[in-house]
Amino acid sequence: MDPILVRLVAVALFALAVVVAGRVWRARDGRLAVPVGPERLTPEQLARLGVADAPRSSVVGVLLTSQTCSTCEAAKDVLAEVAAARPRFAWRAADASDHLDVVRALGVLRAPTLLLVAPDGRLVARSSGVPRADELRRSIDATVPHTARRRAPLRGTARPGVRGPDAPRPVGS
Amino acid sequence: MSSTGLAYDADGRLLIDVRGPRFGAALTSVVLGTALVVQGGVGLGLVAWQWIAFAVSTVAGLRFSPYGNLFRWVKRRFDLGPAPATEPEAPPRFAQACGLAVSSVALVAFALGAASLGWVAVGVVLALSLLLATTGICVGCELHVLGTRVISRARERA
Repeated sequence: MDPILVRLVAVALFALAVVVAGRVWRARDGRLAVPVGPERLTPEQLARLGVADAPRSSVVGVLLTSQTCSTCEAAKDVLAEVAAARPRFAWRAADASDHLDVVRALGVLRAPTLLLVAPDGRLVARSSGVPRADELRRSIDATVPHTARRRAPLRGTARPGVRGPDAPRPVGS
Repeated sequence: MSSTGLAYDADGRLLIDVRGPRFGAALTSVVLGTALVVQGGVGLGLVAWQWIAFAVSTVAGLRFSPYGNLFRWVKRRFDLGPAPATEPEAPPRFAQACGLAVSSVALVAFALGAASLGWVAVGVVLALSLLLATTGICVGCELHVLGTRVISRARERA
Protein backbone atom coordinates (compact mmCIF):
# COMPACT_ATOMS: atom_id res chain seq x y z
CA MET A 1 0.00 0.00 0.00
CA ASP A 2 1.18 3.50 -0.74
CA PRO A 3 3.20 4.64 2.30
CA ILE A 4 1.75 8.14 2.11
CA LEU A 5 -1.77 6.72 2.36
CA VAL A 6 -0.73 4.62 5.34
CA ARG A 7 0.75 7.63 7.07
CA LEU A 8 -2.30 9.71 6.25
CA VAL A 9 -4.55 7.22 7.99
CA ALA A 10 -2.12 6.92 10.90
CA VAL A 11 -1.88 10.69 11.39
CA ALA A 12 -5.66 11.05 11.12
CA LEU A 13 -6.18 8.39 13.80
CA PHE A 14 -3.50 9.99 15.96
CA ALA A 15 -5.21 13.37 15.63
CA LEU A 16 -8.55 11.83 16.56
CA ALA A 17 -7.02 10.17 19.64
CA VAL A 18 -5.46 13.48 20.74
CA VAL A 19 -8.72 15.38 20.35
CA VAL A 20 -10.66 12.74 22.30
CA ALA A 21 -8.03 12.78 25.06
CA GLY A 22 -8.31 16.56 25.17
CA ARG A 23 -12.09 16.38 25.55
CA VAL A 24 -11.71 13.89 28.40
CA TRP A 25 -9.20 16.12 30.16
CA ARG A 26 -11.48 19.12 29.74
CA ALA A 27 -14.31 17.17 31.32
CA ARG A 28 -12.21 16.32 34.35
CA ASP A 29 -10.70 19.79 34.65
CA GLY A 30 -11.62 21.80 37.70
CA ARG A 31 -13.19 18.91 39.58
CA LEU A 32 -12.63 19.01 43.29
CA ALA A 33 -10.81 15.98 44.62
CA VAL A 34 -10.66 14.94 48.25
CA PRO A 35 -7.19 13.87 49.35
CA VAL A 36 -6.89 10.22 50.30
CA GLY A 37 -4.57 10.51 53.27
CA PRO A 38 -4.52 13.20 55.93
CA GLU A 39 -2.78 16.07 54.17
CA ARG A 40 -2.32 19.36 55.91
CA LEU A 41 -0.38 22.56 55.68
CA THR A 42 1.95 23.39 58.54
CA PRO A 43 1.48 26.64 60.48
CA GLU A 44 4.66 27.99 58.87
CA GLN A 45 3.34 27.27 55.39
CA LEU A 46 0.00 28.86 56.25
CA ALA A 47 1.79 31.93 57.55
CA ARG A 48 3.95 32.27 54.43
CA LEU A 49 0.87 31.90 52.27
CA GLY A 50 -0.69 34.74 54.19
CA VAL A 51 -3.67 32.78 55.51
CA ALA A 52 -2.62 32.14 59.09
CA ASP A 53 -4.75 35.01 60.32
CA ALA A 54 -8.02 33.75 58.81
CA PRO A 55 -10.93 33.50 61.23
CA ARG A 56 -11.17 30.16 63.00
CA SER A 57 -14.58 29.46 61.54
CA SER A 58 -13.71 29.98 57.90
CA VAL A 59 -12.37 27.82 55.14
CA VAL A 60 -9.63 29.30 53.01
CA GLY A 61 -8.87 28.76 49.37
CA VAL A 62 -5.26 29.09 48.23
CA LEU A 63 -4.94 29.45 44.48
CA LEU A 64 -1.46 28.54 43.30
CA THR A 65 -0.70 30.44 40.11
CA SER A 66 2.22 30.74 37.75
CA GLN A 67 3.54 33.33 35.34
CA THR A 68 2.41 31.41 32.28
CA CYS A 69 -0.97 30.30 33.55
CA SER A 70 -3.56 31.03 30.87
CA THR A 71 -6.64 30.13 32.91
CA CYS A 72 -5.74 31.75 36.23
CA GLU A 73 -7.89 34.84 35.60
CA ALA A 74 -10.92 32.65 34.99
CA ALA A 75 -10.13 30.71 38.19
CA LYS A 76 -9.93 33.96 40.18
CA ASP A 77 -13.29 35.03 38.76
CA VAL A 78 -14.88 31.80 39.98
CA LEU A 79 -13.36 32.22 43.45
CA ALA A 80 -14.54 35.82 43.68
CA GLU A 81 -18.03 34.78 42.68
CA VAL A 82 -18.17 32.01 45.28
CA ALA A 83 -16.67 34.24 47.99
CA ALA A 84 -19.36 36.82 47.38
CA ALA A 85 -22.01 34.27 48.31
CA ARG A 86 -20.16 32.52 51.14
CA PRO A 87 -19.04 34.83 53.93
CA ARG A 88 -17.14 31.99 55.61
CA PHE A 89 -14.97 31.48 52.54
CA ALA A 90 -11.88 33.58 51.87
CA TRP A 91 -9.22 33.09 49.29
CA ARG A 92 -5.96 34.41 48.06
CA ALA A 93 -3.67 33.77 45.11
CA ALA A 94 -0.01 32.88 45.52
CA ASP A 95 2.67 32.24 42.95
CA ALA A 96 3.63 28.58 43.02
CA SER A 97 7.30 29.37 42.48
CA ASP A 98 7.36 31.30 45.77
CA HIS A 99 5.99 28.32 47.68
CA LEU A 100 7.88 25.36 46.32
CA ASP A 101 7.76 23.65 49.72
CA VAL A 102 3.99 23.45 49.51
CA VAL A 103 4.17 22.52 45.84
CA ARG A 104 6.50 19.61 46.57
CA ALA A 105 4.79 18.46 49.74
CA LEU A 106 1.41 18.26 48.05
CA GLY A 107 2.61 17.15 44.64
CA VAL A 108 1.27 20.16 42.78
CA LEU A 109 1.96 19.82 39.06
CA ARG A 110 -0.23 22.43 37.41
CA ALA A 111 -1.36 25.98 37.70
CA PRO A 112 -3.95 26.99 38.67
CA THR A 113 -4.28 24.58 41.55
CA LEU A 114 -6.76 25.38 44.26
CA LEU A 115 -6.14 24.11 47.78
CA LEU A 116 -9.12 24.23 50.09
CA VAL A 117 -7.82 24.45 53.66
CA ALA A 118 -9.88 23.93 56.81
CA PRO A 119 -9.33 26.20 59.82
CA ASP A 120 -6.94 23.66 61.37
CA GLY A 121 -4.72 23.50 58.29
CA ARG A 122 -6.16 20.24 57.03
CA LEU A 123 -6.44 19.98 53.25
CA VAL A 124 -10.14 19.51 52.56
CA ALA A 125 -10.09 19.39 48.78
CA ARG A 126 -8.02 20.39 45.83
CA SER A 127 -8.60 20.95 42.16
CA SER A 128 -6.44 21.80 39.20
CA GLY A 129 -7.66 23.93 36.35
CA VAL A 130 -10.53 26.38 36.69
CA PRO A 131 -12.48 25.15 39.73
CA ARG A 132 -16.14 24.36 39.35
CA ALA A 133 -18.26 26.79 41.33
CA ASP A 134 -20.94 24.28 42.33
CA GLU A 135 -18.46 21.68 43.60
CA LEU A 136 -16.58 24.39 45.43
CA ARG A 137 -19.72 25.61 47.17
CA ARG A 138 -20.62 22.05 48.16
CA SER A 139 -17.20 21.46 49.61
CA ILE A 140 -17.25 24.74 51.53
CA ASP A 141 -20.71 24.01 52.92
CA ALA A 142 -19.62 20.55 54.00
CA THR A 143 -16.66 21.97 55.91
CA VAL A 144 -18.11 25.08 57.49
CA PRO A 145 -21.90 24.77 57.50
CA HIS A 146 -23.39 28.18 57.07
CA THR A 147 -26.61 29.14 58.77
CA ALA A 148 -28.14 32.27 57.27
CA ARG A 149 -27.56 32.47 53.57
CA ARG A 150 -26.69 35.97 52.55
CA ARG A 151 -27.52 36.26 48.92
CA ALA A 152 -25.14 38.16 46.70
CA PRO A 153 -27.03 40.95 44.91
CA LEU A 154 -27.79 40.16 41.30
CA ARG A 155 -25.91 42.29 38.86
CA GLY A 156 -27.94 45.16 37.43
CA THR A 157 -30.85 44.95 39.83
CA ALA A 158 -31.14 47.47 42.62
CA ARG A 159 -33.27 47.00 45.69
CA PRO A 160 -35.63 49.94 46.02
CA GLY A 161 -34.56 52.39 48.66
CA VAL A 162 -31.00 51.09 48.84
CA ARG A 163 -28.25 53.09 47.21
CA GLY A 164 -24.71 51.98 46.59
CA PRO A 165 -21.84 54.19 47.66
CA ASP A 166 -21.31 55.58 44.18
CA ALA A 167 -24.92 56.05 43.18
CA PRO A 168 -25.79 59.59 42.14
CA ARG A 169 -27.31 61.58 44.94
CA PRO A 170 -30.21 63.92 44.43
CA VAL A 171 -29.30 67.57 44.31
CA GLY A 172 -29.28 69.19 47.73
CA SER A 173 -28.67 66.07 49.81
CA MET B 1 -9.32 48.07 21.84
CA SER B 2 -8.75 48.13 18.10
CA SER B 3 -10.09 45.44 15.86
CA THR B 4 -6.58 44.67 14.63
CA GLY B 5 -5.92 42.77 17.85
CA LEU B 6 -2.98 44.80 19.15
CA ALA B 7 -3.47 46.33 22.56
CA TYR B 8 -1.34 46.94 25.58
CA ASP B 9 -2.15 46.74 29.26
CA ALA B 10 -1.32 49.31 31.91
CA ASP B 11 2.26 47.99 32.24
CA GLY B 12 2.90 48.20 28.51
CA ARG B 13 2.71 44.46 28.01
CA LEU B 14 1.12 43.17 24.84
CA LEU B 15 -2.41 41.83 25.13
CA ILE B 16 -3.53 39.44 22.46
CA ASP B 17 -6.87 38.25 21.14
CA VAL B 18 -7.59 34.88 22.77
CA ARG B 19 -8.57 33.49 19.37
CA GLY B 20 -5.10 34.20 17.99
CA PRO B 21 -3.16 31.31 19.59
CA ARG B 22 -5.88 28.87 18.59
CA PHE B 23 -5.76 30.07 14.99
CA GLY B 24 -1.98 29.72 15.02
CA ALA B 25 -2.24 26.27 16.57
CA ALA B 26 -4.67 25.18 13.86
CA LEU B 27 -2.23 26.29 11.14
CA THR B 28 0.64 24.61 12.99
CA SER B 29 -1.38 21.39 13.10
CA VAL B 30 -2.00 21.50 9.35
CA VAL B 31 1.66 22.22 8.61
CA LEU B 32 3.03 19.49 10.86
CA GLY B 33 0.32 16.98 10.02
CA THR B 34 1.14 17.40 6.33
CA ALA B 35 4.85 17.11 7.09
CA LEU B 36 4.28 13.83 8.94
CA VAL B 37 2.28 12.40 6.04
CA VAL B 38 4.47 13.37 3.09
CA GLN B 39 7.84 13.34 4.92
CA GLY B 40 10.83 13.49 2.59
CA GLY B 41 12.26 16.83 1.50
CA VAL B 42 8.89 18.60 1.50
CA GLY B 43 8.14 17.34 4.99
CA LEU B 44 11.51 18.50 6.24
CA GLY B 45 10.94 21.90 4.69
CA LEU B 46 7.59 22.23 6.44
CA VAL B 47 9.16 21.36 9.80
CA ALA B 48 11.92 23.90 9.18
CA TRP B 49 9.31 26.57 8.36
CA GLN B 50 7.41 25.77 11.55
CA TRP B 51 10.65 26.04 13.51
CA ILE B 52 11.16 29.53 12.09
CA ALA B 53 7.60 30.51 13.05
CA PHE B 54 8.19 29.30 16.63
CA ALA B 55 11.54 31.06 16.80
CA VAL B 56 10.21 34.43 15.66
CA SER B 57 7.31 34.31 18.15
CA THR B 58 9.56 33.24 21.00
CA VAL B 59 12.41 35.65 20.44
CA ALA B 60 10.71 38.73 18.97
CA GLY B 61 7.34 38.34 20.64
CA LEU B 62 3.88 37.49 19.40
CA ARG B 63 3.57 40.83 17.67
CA PHE B 64 5.85 39.46 14.96
CA SER B 65 4.42 35.97 14.89
CA PRO B 66 3.74 34.98 11.26
CA TYR B 67 0.50 33.21 12.12
CA GLY B 68 -0.50 36.03 14.44
CA ASN B 69 -0.06 38.56 11.66
CA LEU B 70 -2.02 36.34 9.29
CA PHE B 71 -4.78 36.13 11.89
CA ARG B 72 -4.95 39.91 12.17
CA TRP B 73 -5.17 40.16 8.38
CA VAL B 74 -7.97 37.54 8.34
CA LYS B 75 -9.83 39.47 11.02
CA ARG B 76 -9.67 42.66 8.99
CA ARG B 77 -10.41 41.01 5.65
CA PHE B 78 -13.40 39.00 6.87
CA ASP B 79 -14.48 41.51 9.48
CA LEU B 80 -14.46 39.02 12.34
CA GLY B 81 -15.01 41.72 14.91
CA PRO B 82 -13.17 42.67 18.09
CA ALA B 83 -11.67 40.13 20.44
CA PRO B 84 -14.17 38.42 22.74
CA ALA B 85 -11.43 38.49 25.38
CA THR B 86 -7.77 39.31 25.60
CA GLU B 87 -4.95 37.62 27.46
CA PRO B 88 -1.39 38.59 28.27
CA GLU B 89 1.26 37.51 25.85
CA ALA B 90 3.38 35.52 28.32
CA PRO B 91 1.60 32.14 28.47
CA PRO B 92 1.20 31.66 24.68
CA ARG B 93 4.72 32.91 24.12
CA PHE B 94 6.03 30.35 26.60
CA ALA B 95 4.07 27.70 24.72
CA GLN B 96 5.76 28.83 21.49
CA ALA B 97 9.09 28.41 23.26
CA CYS B 98 8.13 24.83 24.16
CA GLY B 99 7.24 24.17 20.53
CA LEU B 100 10.58 25.65 19.51
CA ALA B 101 12.42 23.37 21.93
CA VAL B 102 10.80 20.15 20.75
CA SER B 103 11.00 21.03 17.05
CA SER B 104 14.69 21.84 17.58
CA VAL B 105 15.09 18.29 18.86
CA ALA B 106 13.36 17.09 15.69
CA LEU B 107 15.64 19.05 13.38
CA VAL B 108 18.77 17.94 15.22
CA ALA B 109 17.57 14.34 14.97
CA PHE B 110 17.05 14.74 11.21
CA ALA B 111 20.49 16.29 10.84
CA LEU B 112 22.06 13.37 12.69
CA GLY B 113 20.21 10.86 10.52
CA ALA B 114 17.80 9.68 13.25
CA ALA B 115 14.72 10.29 11.12
CA SER B 116 12.36 8.18 13.22
CA LEU B 117 13.21 10.12 16.37
CA GLY B 118 12.75 13.32 14.40
CA TRP B 119 9.26 12.38 13.26
CA VAL B 120 8.30 11.29 16.77
CA ALA B 121 9.30 14.73 18.01
CA VAL B 122 7.24 16.30 15.22
CA GLY B 123 4.35 14.13 16.39
CA VAL B 124 4.69 15.51 19.90
CA VAL B 125 4.48 19.11 18.68
CA LEU B 126 1.54 18.14 16.48
CA ALA B 127 -0.28 16.68 19.48
CA LEU B 128 0.30 19.85 21.52
CA SER B 129 -0.88 22.17 18.74
CA LEU B 130 -3.93 19.96 18.09
CA LEU B 131 -4.88 20.16 21.75
CA LEU B 132 -4.62 23.92 21.74
CA ALA B 133 -6.50 24.31 18.49
CA THR B 134 -9.40 21.99 19.33
CA THR B 135 -9.82 22.29 23.11
CA GLY B 136 -7.93 25.43 24.07
CA ILE B 137 -5.68 23.47 26.40
CA CYS B 138 -2.22 25.03 26.51
CA VAL B 139 0.08 22.23 27.63
CA GLY B 140 3.16 24.42 27.37
CA CYS B 141 1.62 26.90 29.81
CA GLU B 142 0.86 24.08 32.23
CA LEU B 143 4.46 22.91 32.28
CA HIS B 144 5.72 26.08 33.93
CA VAL B 145 5.06 24.88 37.49
CA LEU B 146 6.67 21.54 36.76
CA GLY B 147 9.63 23.27 35.17
CA THR B 148 10.11 25.54 38.18
CA ARG B 149 10.12 22.55 40.51
CA VAL B 150 12.69 20.69 38.43
CA ILE B 151 14.97 23.70 38.02
CA SER B 152 14.89 24.59 41.70
CA ARG B 153 15.66 21.01 42.65
CA ALA B 154 18.59 21.01 40.23
CA ARG B 155 19.82 24.27 41.77
CA GLU B 156 19.58 22.85 45.26
CA ARG B 157 21.70 19.91 44.30
CA ALA B 158 24.34 22.04 42.59
